[in-house]
Amino acid sequence: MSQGRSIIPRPKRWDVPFSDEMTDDVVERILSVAPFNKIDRKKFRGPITLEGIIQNDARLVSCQEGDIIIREGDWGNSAFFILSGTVRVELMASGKFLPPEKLGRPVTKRKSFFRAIAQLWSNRKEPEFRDLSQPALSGEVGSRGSGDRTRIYLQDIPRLLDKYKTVALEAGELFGEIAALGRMPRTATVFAEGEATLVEFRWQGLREIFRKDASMRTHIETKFRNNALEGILRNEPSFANTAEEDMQQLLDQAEFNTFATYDLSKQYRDLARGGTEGQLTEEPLVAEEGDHPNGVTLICSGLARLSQRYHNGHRTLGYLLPGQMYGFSEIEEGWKTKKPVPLSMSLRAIGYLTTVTVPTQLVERLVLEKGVAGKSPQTPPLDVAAAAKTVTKIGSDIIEFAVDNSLVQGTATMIIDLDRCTRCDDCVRACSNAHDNNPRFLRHGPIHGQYMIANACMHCADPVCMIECPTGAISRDLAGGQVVISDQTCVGCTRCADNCPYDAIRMVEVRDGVGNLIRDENGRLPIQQATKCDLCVEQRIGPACQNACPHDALYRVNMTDLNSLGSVFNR
Amino acid sequence: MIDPLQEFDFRESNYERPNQEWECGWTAQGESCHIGPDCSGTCQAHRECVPYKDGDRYKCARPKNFGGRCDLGPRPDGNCSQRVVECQPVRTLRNRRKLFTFTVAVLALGSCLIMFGGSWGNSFSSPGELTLQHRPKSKECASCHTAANGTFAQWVGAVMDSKPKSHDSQQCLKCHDKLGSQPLMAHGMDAEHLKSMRQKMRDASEPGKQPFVYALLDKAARNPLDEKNGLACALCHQEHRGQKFDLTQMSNVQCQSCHSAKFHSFSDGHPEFDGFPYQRRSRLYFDHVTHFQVHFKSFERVKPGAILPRGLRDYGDGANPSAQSCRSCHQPDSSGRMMPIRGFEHSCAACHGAEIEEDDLPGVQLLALPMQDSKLLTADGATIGQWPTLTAANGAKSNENSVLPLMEILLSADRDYLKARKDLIELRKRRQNGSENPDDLNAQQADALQRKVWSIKRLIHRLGTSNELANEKRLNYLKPIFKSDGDAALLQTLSASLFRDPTFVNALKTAQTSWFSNLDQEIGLLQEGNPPKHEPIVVPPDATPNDSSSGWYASLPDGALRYRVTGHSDRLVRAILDLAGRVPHLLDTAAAKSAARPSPFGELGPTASFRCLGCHTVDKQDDGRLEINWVGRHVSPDSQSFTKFSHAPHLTLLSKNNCSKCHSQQKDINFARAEFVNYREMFAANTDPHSALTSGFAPISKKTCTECHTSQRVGDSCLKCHNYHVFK
Amino acid sequence: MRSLAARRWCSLGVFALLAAVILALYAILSFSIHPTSFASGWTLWGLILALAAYNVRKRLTFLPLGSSSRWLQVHIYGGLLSFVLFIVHAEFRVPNGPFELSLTLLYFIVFFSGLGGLAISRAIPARLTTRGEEVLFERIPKFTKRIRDDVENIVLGCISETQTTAIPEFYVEHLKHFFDGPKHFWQHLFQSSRPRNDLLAEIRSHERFLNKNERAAVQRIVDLICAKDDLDHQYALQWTLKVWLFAHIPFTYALVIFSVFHLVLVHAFAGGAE
Repeated sequence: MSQGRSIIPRPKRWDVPFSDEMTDDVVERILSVAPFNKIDRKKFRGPITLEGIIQNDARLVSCQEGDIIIREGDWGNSAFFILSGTVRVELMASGKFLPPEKLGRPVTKRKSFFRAIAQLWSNRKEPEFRDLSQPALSGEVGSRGSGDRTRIYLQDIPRLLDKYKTVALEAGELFGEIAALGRMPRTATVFAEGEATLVEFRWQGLREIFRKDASMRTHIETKFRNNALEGILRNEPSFANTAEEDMQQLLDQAEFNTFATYDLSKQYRDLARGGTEGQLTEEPLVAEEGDHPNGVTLICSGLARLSQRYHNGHRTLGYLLPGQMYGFSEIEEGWKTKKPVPLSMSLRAIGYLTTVTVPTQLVERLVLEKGVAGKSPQTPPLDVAAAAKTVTKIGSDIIEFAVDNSLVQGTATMIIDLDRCTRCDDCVRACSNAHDNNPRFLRHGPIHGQYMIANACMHCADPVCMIECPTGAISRDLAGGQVVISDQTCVGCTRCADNCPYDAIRMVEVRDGVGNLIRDENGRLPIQQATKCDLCVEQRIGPACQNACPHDALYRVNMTDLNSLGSVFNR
Repeated sequence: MIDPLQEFDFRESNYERPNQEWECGWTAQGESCHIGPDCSGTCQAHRECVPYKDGDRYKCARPKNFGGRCDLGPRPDGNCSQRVVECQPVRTLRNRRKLFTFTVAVLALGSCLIMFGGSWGNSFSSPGELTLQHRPKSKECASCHTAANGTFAQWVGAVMDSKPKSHDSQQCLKCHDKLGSQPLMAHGMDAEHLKSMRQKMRDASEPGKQPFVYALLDKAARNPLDEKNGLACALCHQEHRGQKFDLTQMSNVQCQSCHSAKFHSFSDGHPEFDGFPYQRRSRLYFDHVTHFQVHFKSFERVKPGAILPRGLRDYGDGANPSAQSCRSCHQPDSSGRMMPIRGFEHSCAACHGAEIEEDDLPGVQLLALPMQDSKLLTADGATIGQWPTLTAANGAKSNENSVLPLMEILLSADRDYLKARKDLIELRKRRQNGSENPDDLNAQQADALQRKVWSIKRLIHRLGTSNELANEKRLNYLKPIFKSDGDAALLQTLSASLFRDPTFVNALKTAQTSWFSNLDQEIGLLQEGNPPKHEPIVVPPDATPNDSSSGWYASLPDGALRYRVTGHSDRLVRAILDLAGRVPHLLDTAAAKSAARPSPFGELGPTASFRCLGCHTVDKQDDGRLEINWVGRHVSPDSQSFTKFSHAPHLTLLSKNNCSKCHSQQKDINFARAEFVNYREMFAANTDPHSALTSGFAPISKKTCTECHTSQRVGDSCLKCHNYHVFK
Repeated sequence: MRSLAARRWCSLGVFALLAAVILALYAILSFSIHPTSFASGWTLWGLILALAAYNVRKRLTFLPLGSSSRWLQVHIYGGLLSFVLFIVHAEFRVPNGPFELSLTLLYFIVFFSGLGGLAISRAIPARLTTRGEEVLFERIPKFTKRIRDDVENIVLGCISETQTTAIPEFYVEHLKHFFDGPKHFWQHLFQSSRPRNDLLAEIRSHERFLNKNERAAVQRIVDLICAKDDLDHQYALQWTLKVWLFAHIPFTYALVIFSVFHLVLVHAFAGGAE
């Protein structure tokens, strides 16, 4: 490792542009075509100009025949605009997907065995070493190792086109923005049919544009109905194999709703902080217990609470996460018994929630009558009795605690059983061993009963930390979906750290090889960077902390799954 | 209540790094700086603010989380105006533990190296005190451990190599040298022999009895018989167990470990003794039953006037005699192990003393002229010179066609004699298959006989004329025939009681004068080559002098020199009997071998056989010689056999000193003296050590011992009755 | 995930089985003329090394060597097993040579410190959660100081507001020492709330000399006393949780070193009695 310089210019947004090939005429060319030529540039005042955005937050991507542009299921945070050529969106036709090997999913780059051992001596003695002297590699922004420069392409396009159902997207169309903005995984695979030139926007740029320009926002709305919505519906087994004409009806009649008590994640953080029972009633109500269901509600993004009246309050029986479904069982039962059945639980949005509602009669006609519902919904509708049982098994207080503090977001929440933990800090040391001698979490945090929710990144299903990152330094790992921060592109703006409701992200003063603080060349203030748990994405073993706990006290729990919760909370 | 102490916000709470080895010196005071020491434990506080020159003046560069910019700002010289309180960083608890660990490890290693490097390591590394008897040696490990001379490196080597090392046992043997030829082998015997014994025991033991764990063990444990270098002493004798420790104390388990016939205890599973202690009949034959039941009862009647030994006067009823009656003949020896007989004079003489030197008996024929085939000899033309016509006198059995052993011995130096004897035997054979003409057979036999006669006459001539020295020479010249030193001793006795004995010389002279009056000329003629014709000499039947003094006398009529014994253990008779016992191997000629002799003692006549060999049994040795047991069993104190038994302690312990508690008389003893119609039968029985010639006692059964010898009572450990180290 | 109780019973079963096997083997082999001590010795040595290897595994956190908790289970029951082996190896007697005696001593230190450590690790954590705010050990001094500062501010405040010196005097006499640093280690270790009650009792007994404002101040002081006492409680217990290893680990190294020498020695001086 070369020792970095200890005096460098403070990193700024657009220090590291998305691409360095964006010459002015390229920018002009993009601005000349729809819908960008419709955008009113005057709306963009201050430093963030439209040109600036396109210059820095976009890049040209030229594809060959069959190149895969985005892959269904990947976590991506960029959208694509087609300049020329045609790309094909591969729809899920009759449940058949392109096989993964065709999609050439990259394997996460793990440390080799010897590299792993080498950490014994190669780890830096001084904390927080960074080598910021050479600029971040372009094309690797927002991801580790396997950047989106590594292209893989599909063999034998014509055959694929017969075999799989695809729709063509022509020049001037925008795709991928729903996933990018809605913080959802890609809903479909897109590949180039013949030569194609695309403009890839990182979502920070898109966000600016949508914020400022109404036409684009409506554009999104319509686009959502036309593309994403179908993707979402197709995702749900109940609707997966709906006939085309019926699907059209679905698309026309389905409602797309957003429930939010806030606009900026800051507020969301405070919301999560002050989590109390009182707050529940303030949460926006999606559907109320006792009402008759006006449709099946699919959760697109965000988090929803399932609660039931209990004496004078509401008891949380569970929660729904993106991809899950609400109200199906009641409709089904009602359709069987030919008399309407009221909803057994209320659905409330916690913070930010986007849903799609399919009207009841459509569900009955398309799903129940046509018997296409051979498949049960993706997530079997929550059986109230069962839920109540699990809840009491785990301890309803814990559920409340988890939901109120929206810990249920966590797919890898660190839970420490303080009745077993001997405070030996083996977990912390293991963590620091795995991260160049830097612990990536602190063994402190909110305590409920005997359980501590340590301040380690819980890799939320819906990571609010990624919302405001100006450079996209914080992103999901392409393979594992873990939320990781790129030291190369983090500018230490502390937004993620401020946004994280769980204090899982911390700012550190970075140092050079000999342990000197690296300082900004003007102002001479030490340069900070955000750090957090990356679930040992580079290590050969899973999370080192869980592995290193001698007393079975520490667990990384997927809170979105009630059962795995039960297994931990109930030993 | 007060607010919670901890903040989790990254701005409020410090980034704790438990993996670091040093912490700020002010931590204990709760005033640790933000930046903390570096990895080498030097304070970094001065780095918190590094003013920098902007244009012409310095500016403060202290970030908010380090306290933020101060109002004063840096001094003109560019140093921070805040007093930087540098600390002396301290090791974290964990780091201190690491240090302590290192120290302890180093100390441990150091102390070990010093202990084993230094000379005074001995006392330290010794695993315990030695026993008192070994104490004098305990100063020097090397006096027992060869390793003690080696270096530590060599010790490590010793751990590596796998070959068995029993060399330290050699050190033990330097002092303990009386353990036989191969003391390290199991029981000091060679493995082959042991294996055979082992097999025997295995056959003897009933399989059901073997305890399970032993069976397992036989699979698990190494077999000591396979050990090439034998077993190390240390296997059983484990030293360094303290001064009082008993090195010879062994557990039954230790014995059983090798023994394939395993059992729980002496009382349970130990094989029954077969005929102990009478696997062989006693060396001195004594029929206790008959004596107690018959003879002692009829003593006064049979031997009026004679006195029984004191103890025997109240021998109780014949069945179980009183202890006194036993002890009147048997007394514990010095070691107290055996109860030897007190000797003939004390024990037997009262009855049998007189019986031995009975006057009316003519005495033992020791030298006699052969009488056989007098027809042939006395035939015309027989050139044998003077020859007495013998008549069996005094009812003594005539000595037919045989030469007495003593004669044999004396003649065996004479080659002519040996040849003649050979011819005679051949002739007898030829006669038997009778294909040839008896006349020329007769002629040849006559010739052979003449040669035989002449050698006898030559012998007598020499014995008579030549002086002692010459006779001594003659005997010496027989020496090569005798093998062991025992034989030499025998010779001495012989010469002493023959040629130095005046009675012998006189008897010889008398005999010569009366049988061969002019022997000298005859020998002379013989040497000239014309032997004189046969001239019969008539000896008057009453020519034998009738004095009853013991010793030699010539009984002229039957042409014999007779000897009257001087009493019990007469030296000459003993010597001659011993000699006779050696004859089979002594006369190693085909003739002697073919000569069918039931007993070499036969020629000594029933008298000798009955008298001496009646009580003194004969053991046939491997080389065919017959050993006469002149004394009872004798065990040398510095030899050890597998089994040991000591009478003395038992005598004092047993109730009322009762010998018959163990030695109960055997009623149905299948032996009656009368059955032996002649000495040959008797001799046949006599020479077999396993014959029925027991002392009339029933074998001792295990039960007898197990009454007392249990683990609860006086103990039943193997070593109570058995020795491990067996040596002669 | 199997429940911990189930795992405990399972492990205990295995341990009992192995112990039985060892004793049985010893019983059988001790019938052999050849000493068992070499077999048991080597086994014991191997086991001790394996147990010591746990320390190494803790450093190699980034290799897939199985979870540390599984290792600890093996470590615990292996440790118990080593005791059985040790007794068998020493043939149920205390060796009387200085070297072997010290070896035995070392083993006992390590074994019993481990046993104690196990007891501590199982007993104390639950107590930590029951009382006082859970804080990081490294931060305790800082919080102690913060509380002390608060108290002193209150006390000084009393002087400025109500020109009486009742509270300051009382503070100097009875409380200063208490707030200086961690106190009442043993009482906290053995769950005695005596010191706290004594302090509070003293304060109560003083209250009657105070006016209204002062009482208010005292109330705040009382809260701080409780907070400090809880902190001491945390300190005492967490310190104990950490410090028992000071006996266990260093002497393990000593034990291993000694055992190596012992091994060489017995083989060199066995005199063929292996």
